[in-house]
Amino acid sequence: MPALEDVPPQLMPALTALTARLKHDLGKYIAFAARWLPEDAAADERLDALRADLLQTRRGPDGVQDAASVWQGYAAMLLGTEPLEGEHAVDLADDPDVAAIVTAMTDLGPVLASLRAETELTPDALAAALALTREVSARCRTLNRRAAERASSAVAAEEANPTHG
Amino acid sequence: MADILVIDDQDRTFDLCRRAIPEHRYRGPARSFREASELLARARGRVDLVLLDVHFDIPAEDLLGFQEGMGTRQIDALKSRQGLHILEALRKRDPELPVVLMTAREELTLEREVADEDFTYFLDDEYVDARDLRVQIARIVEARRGQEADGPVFWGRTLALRKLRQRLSVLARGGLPVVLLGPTGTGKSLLARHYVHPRSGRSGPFVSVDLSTVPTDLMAAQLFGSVRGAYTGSVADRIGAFEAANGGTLFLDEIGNLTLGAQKMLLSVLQEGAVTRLGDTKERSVDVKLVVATNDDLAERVRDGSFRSDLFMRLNPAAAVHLPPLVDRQLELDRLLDHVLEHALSRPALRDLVTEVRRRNGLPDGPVQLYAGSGIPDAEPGVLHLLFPERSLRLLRGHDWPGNLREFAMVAENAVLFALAEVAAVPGGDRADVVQVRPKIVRDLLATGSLEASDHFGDGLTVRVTLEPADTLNKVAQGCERQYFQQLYLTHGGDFGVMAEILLGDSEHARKVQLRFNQLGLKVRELKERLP
Repeated sequence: MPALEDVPPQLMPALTALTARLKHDLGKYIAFAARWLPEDAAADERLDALRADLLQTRRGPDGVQDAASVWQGYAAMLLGTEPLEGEHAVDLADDPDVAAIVTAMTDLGPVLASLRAETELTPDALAAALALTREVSARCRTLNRRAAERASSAVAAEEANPTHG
Repeated sequence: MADILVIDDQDRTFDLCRRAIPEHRYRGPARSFREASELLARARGRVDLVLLDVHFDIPAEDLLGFQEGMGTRQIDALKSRQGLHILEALRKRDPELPVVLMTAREELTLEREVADEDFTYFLDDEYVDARDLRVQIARIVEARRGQEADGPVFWGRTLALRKLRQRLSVLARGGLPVVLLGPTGTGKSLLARHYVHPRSGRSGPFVSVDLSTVPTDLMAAQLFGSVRGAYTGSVADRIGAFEAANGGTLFLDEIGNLTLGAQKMLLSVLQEGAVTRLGDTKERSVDVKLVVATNDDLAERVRDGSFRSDLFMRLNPAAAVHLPPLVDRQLELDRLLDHVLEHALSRPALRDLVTEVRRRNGLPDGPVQLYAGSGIPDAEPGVLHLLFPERSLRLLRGHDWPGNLREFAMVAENAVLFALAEVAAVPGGDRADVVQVRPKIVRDLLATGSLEASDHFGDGLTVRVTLEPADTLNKVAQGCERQYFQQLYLTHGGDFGVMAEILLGDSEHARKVQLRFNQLGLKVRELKERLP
């Protein structure tokens, strides 16, 4: 199942709901504070924003989650290690948006570790990390849009050619 | 600067707003509707707009719309649309409070009715950023400021009243008469003087005649003028109101009081654009914007023959403007209270009393701040707090205000006067900087000043009871008492404290009232269901 477009239509509602939650929980909040930075923000302001976005990505009933742990829950279902619905699993490792998110999140791993350890980030590393958070944010949005489009075209196709009476 | 309530399960929005858009004041963050509701109650209508998230990841029991037995999927759906549930609840509370949903309009394609609502706004992008939000807030604040510049608060800020004024503004520019309808005290003469006249494009004077105060035999002379000897006692020529208002606006209040003779003359003036003084033959051209007001049903008066149908039609009744009674403006009472008290406290009588209270309580000079609702305000250097407790506010909100704005302003001002006088006479109390407008003061004023005083007996509540025959007089009396208590409970929202204050003069005796309820066999649980 190389891409989202290959997912069986009957799984699309569940996949669309999953990507919508991913877009909200990770896509929105992984670059949340960074998006509020003024263009001329100083390096320490950028670092504070990155720290908040990566280490305190979501606050839920179970407490604060960092970006890696938010992603973990979704990655399991997008990469087929956990079922998406019932016993059905999907593996979208080769989907361009999912692959880009996986890569960016992997690249952000050491950044997260540095931030937790409070070791210094070079200006280049800081800029690269901020670019990665923007990349994750944008990919989550695209993934959800594609899923929604595919789900609605699947519904339209089903209505045009009903296979069951 | 706008006063903004942030409703979001993530504190980060609130923190970022404060840092990135510091020009506004923020309340919150409210993480659920319950918290938002509390903050709104505390703010008493001072919130200019709400920033509302859509997805709320909060414990299920805190979700609006949560019911026991809901499955995980239902709860997830409730979380992902919680903002819309909150919006719906906010709309019931205040249909015109601007709410910015912190998402893009496209994200809510299924909720078309939400997207099309007045006072609901969206961001350009579902991923919020400071620039987008700042622009959106500025746009809303600007629009709201425009509305507020539209006139003093007593003219109303609601959409209905703003539309009414827009209509009036159009009518003011036209050449036809304007008819203002509405109960006494709704501000008809204020609107005529301060709204219609300035927008009429006329540079002449504004002249007002209250026809209910003019003797019938002098009415024609007062309106149209007279020449010497026109009637007994007419010792000199005099101009009438029409000539006095030439080039300007003539406001005839209580037009229903116009005599049939004067009606005929008024019709002639409207048709000819000229007035003839009593006892004279010379016509004098007049160019007057005529505004008339009445609480009468003029159409009914035409039917019973006491008002000329031709004059009625000339007055442009199809374009009549109806001013609503105050009881229909509940949402604005808090703002009106602020306005009335601010005005009242600037008058010498109350200012002197404030000075007296400060002197007696050893307070330095400083501002007077109105504080309303539950709790006691924090002390601030030099500030004298005028506290309207929740129970006093409830009494104001529960009154039907037959005298409308006029009655409201008098009750509010008198309540403050009595509260200040009390403290000036007997200084002390726990807090020297707090003057409390006790419920008893408000209740006494409402009872004694009410235009419907005949419906009340003393401070009490008059209710209609049905006598139920029984085998003993005691049972009959208890039947009456039961009905009285039920009405009292329903009238005062089930608040035993208020009931105790009414019955026993002290809210601390709520328990006694509750015990009497039990003795009478009244079931609070059943009555609660009947509360509005």
